Amino acid sequence: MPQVNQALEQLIGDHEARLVRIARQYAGPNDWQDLLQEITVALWKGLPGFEGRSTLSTWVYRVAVNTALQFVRKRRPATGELVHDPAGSTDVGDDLALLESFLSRLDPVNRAVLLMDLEGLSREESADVLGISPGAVAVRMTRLKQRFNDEFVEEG
Amino acid sequence: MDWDRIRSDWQSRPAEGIGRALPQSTRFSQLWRRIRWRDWVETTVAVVLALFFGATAWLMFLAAMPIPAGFAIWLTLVCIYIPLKLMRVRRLIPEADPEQPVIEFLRAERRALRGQCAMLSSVWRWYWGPIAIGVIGFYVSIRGWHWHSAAYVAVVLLVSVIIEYANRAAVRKHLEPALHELDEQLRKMEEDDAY
Repeated sequence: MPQVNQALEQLIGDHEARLVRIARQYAGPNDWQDLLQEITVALWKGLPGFEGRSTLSTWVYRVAVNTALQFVRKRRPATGELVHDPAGSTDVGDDLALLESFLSRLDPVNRAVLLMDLEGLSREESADVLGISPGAVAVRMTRLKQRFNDEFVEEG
Repeated sequence: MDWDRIRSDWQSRPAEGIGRALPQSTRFSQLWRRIRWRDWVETTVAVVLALFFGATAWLMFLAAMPIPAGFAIWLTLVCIYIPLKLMRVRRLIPEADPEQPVIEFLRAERRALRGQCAMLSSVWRWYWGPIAIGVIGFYVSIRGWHWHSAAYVAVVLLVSVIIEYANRAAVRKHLEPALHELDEQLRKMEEDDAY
C-alpha cells in the first residue's frame, strides 16, 4: 500500500492543475474540494489495477470525468446544469469568463467533451475517454464551438 | 475567436487551493476501515439477534409455549436471511467502475440504479414484512390479544408503512430522475456515435 500511495502522489502531482479545473467545473465553490477528494480516492482505488491499455493521462481523465458525473448526479439528480458562477470567473470581460459561463450551462457530458478539448486531449484520446468514435467527438465539438460563437461572439 | 489561444489560456490557469483539497494517505486507510466497520456491524447485529431469538425459541419450547417458540424461530431465520440477502443484493447490483469509458460507465450506472430501484421497491417483501410478521406474532402469542397488543400491532404496522413510504419517495424523488437523466445522456451519446 505505501507504494500505491507514493505512485498516487506522483500521479496527482503530475495532473493536479487538470484535476482542479475538472473539479471546479463540476462542483460549486463550496463543493469542488469534496469532488477533488472523491476523484483522488477513485484514482487510488483504481491505480493498482491500471493495466496500461490506454495512456495514463487518458485513464486519469476517464476516472475524473466519471467520478464528476456521478458527483453531479448524487448532488443534483434532477438537473445537469451548474447553478453557480464557477470559481475564478471574476474577470467578466475576458474570453475565459465567457467560456466558464458557457461551460456552466452545458449538460455534464458536453461539458466533459469541451473540457477535454480545452485540456489539449486529441479527438482520439477524448473518444477513448468517452467510449464513442472520434467522429462523434468531432461532431460534438463542432456543435459546441458553433453554439459558443452564436451565444457569445456574435452577441459581443 | 482564436480557439488555440483560449485553450492555451485555459491550460495556464493556476490550480489554487489544491493543498487543502487533496486527502492525506491516512484518509484512504480511514475509508477502508469505515467500509469494513459497516460490514462488521451488520454481521454482528445479525448474529447477536439470531442468537437471542434462537435462545428465546429454546426457552419457549422448554416452557411448553410452541407458538411463541415458532415465531422466535421465524425471527432467528429472518436474522440469518436478511444479511445474506443484503450481501447477495450488493453483489448483484453492479457498481459502476470509473475506469470504464464514460458511455460504459453511464450504462453501468443505469443498471445499478435500476437494481437499486428494484431493491427498494421490494424491500417490504424480504426485510420489513418478515420482521413485522415475526415481532407481531411473537408479542401477541405471549401477551394475548388485548388493547395493548392492538396498540403494538398498530405501531409496528405504522413504522412499516413509514419505511415503505420513505423508500418509495426515495425512488420517486432521487432514483427515477437520475435514471431519466442517464437515459437522456446515453441517448444523445449513442445518437452521436452513429457518425
